[in-house]
Amino acid sequence: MITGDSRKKIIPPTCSHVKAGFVVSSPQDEDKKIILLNEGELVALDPKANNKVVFKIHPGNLVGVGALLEREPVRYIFQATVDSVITIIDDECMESELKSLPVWLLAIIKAISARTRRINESIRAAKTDNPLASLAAFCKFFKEDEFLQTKALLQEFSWLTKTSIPAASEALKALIRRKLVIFQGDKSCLSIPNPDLLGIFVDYQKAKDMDKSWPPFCLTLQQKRILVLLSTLENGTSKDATDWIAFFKEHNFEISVADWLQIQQFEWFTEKGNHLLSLDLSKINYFETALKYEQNIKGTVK
Amino acid sequence: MNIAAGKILCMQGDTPHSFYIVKKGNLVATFKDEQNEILTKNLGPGSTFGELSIVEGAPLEYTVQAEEDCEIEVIPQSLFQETMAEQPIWMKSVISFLTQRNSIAKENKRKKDFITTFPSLLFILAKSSDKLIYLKDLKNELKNFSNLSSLETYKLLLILQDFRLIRLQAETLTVENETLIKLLYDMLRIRAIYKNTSHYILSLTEQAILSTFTKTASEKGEQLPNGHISVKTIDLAAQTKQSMHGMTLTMRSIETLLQKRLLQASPKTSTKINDIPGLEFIETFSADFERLLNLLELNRIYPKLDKKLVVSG
Repeated sequence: MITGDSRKKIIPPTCSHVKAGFVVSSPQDEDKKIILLNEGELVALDPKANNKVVFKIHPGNLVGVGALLEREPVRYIFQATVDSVITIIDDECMESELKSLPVWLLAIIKAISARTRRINESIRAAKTDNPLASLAAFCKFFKEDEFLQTKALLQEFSWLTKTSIPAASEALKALIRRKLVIFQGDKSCLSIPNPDLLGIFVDYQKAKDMDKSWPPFCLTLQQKRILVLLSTLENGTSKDATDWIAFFKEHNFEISVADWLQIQQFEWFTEKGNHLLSLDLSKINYFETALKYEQNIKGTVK
Repeated sequence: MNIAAGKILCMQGDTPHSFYIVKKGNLVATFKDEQNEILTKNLGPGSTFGELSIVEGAPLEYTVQAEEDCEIEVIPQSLFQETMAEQPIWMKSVISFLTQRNSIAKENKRKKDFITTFPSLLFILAKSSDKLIYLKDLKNELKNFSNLSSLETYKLLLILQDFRLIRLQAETLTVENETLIKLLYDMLRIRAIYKNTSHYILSLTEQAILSTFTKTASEKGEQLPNGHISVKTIDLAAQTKQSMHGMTLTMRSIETLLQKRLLQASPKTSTKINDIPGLEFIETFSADFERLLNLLELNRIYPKLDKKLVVSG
């Protein structure tokens, strides 16, 4: 196990006595440093707000860790309000101290810093990983006869999801290319020809994001034919499993148990009690629409 | 420490008070969120985890399982404490500062996600054609806009319920006031995108006059063919005096409401065009009553909204 080096090469921190009013650190300082207050009191002054007091630092507290370890900009001026005793840990001192630490302790410090950095980055980042799916989900809420201002739509989407305007514009281009959204006139306006299709596209994108196969595009030829047959029936047509299989046989479809189980996974039927399975035409339409617009959904449309 | 392929090293939620460094082999970390969705990440040689577990005893965020035979260096908390005891006092402060900063960042993110998801929730509710919405469907829809947790989403819904905009049931919600949800969403949108105050935001005087109008309309209003309600100027002036502590209704105080088309004025038939404006020349005022009620409710909710979001978050 690594237990660390000896402390011989360590450059000790500087201990200073400062008078009231002394500025111990400011944003203009070139040398970044940590200041540990041993005795007295410091105040943080905001130079961007007419040197307004933002907070006070009491003995035992320290400032400047972010600046020294993460190279973050220093935002405040730190000034002693009374005669104080401070310990200054500058770059050299910190470096020598870090070098003397066991590797694992250094790894802990780095891991915590990296974790905070990731969180702070994610605060600024877009709220969704897939702007294309997200924009499609946004657009599907508009009516098909609605004329939408392109710029306003992008701004609104960007506000809701924190997606940057360039990323949102790229996503819009991808939807336009798929003909899921259509520009009107000079591209300042657009319309959604089929909002339901956008909903289907979102589901496809989600399955793709999760590396899952998407049922509408996995149907065998027989399953597609069964889909067409089912689309001719009335919504809510109910039969038990044996009767459905017999019904398919009547229409020249040889259905094995495995086939039947797979069809049930498509959720074309809903359980109605008494072992009855009721046909859900909305689901059938969903599959049919997906197949009809497969090229649009996949982005291979010309 | 050697760990055989397939073995679980630690479980999500465990508090091993240890820090782990992967020396050899690959492990997979799986994180199950509250909706039982599983996220994974790979941990190869050089990867570390458990930094908050060793420093502050925080529970592990994921379950870690060896994909192949692995060698792991485990640093127990006792060693951490012994080593820290040998360090200068300020080093402890630095580490404690870093962990505190991490907690603050996490909390900031949670709060920001909470507040910034609110408009998305309003958008979905405003645009939904159904009044009865399954919570499961709503949460799935919201995932397209934000990664807010189920619990936090529910807290947002409770705010809307407090404002009587929705009613929550076990698995569903009912939209109680669709118009108001739309108005609220529009107001937030205009504020955020155009940095403007919506004209739906009324001054206290405007609110007082509209309240008086609705009161007068309820008691003495007359329904017009276009669905609006008309109130005689004389009645409105009397009600204003009564409910606004003797205040006299003037054309000046009512002018902005006319400009915003929240009230419409019908001049007396004998009035010449040049005589307007002047309250004495107006016979009646009319307005869309439902719209006024919604606007007044909007102005009641709006000042409370930001505070409610911050407090609830």
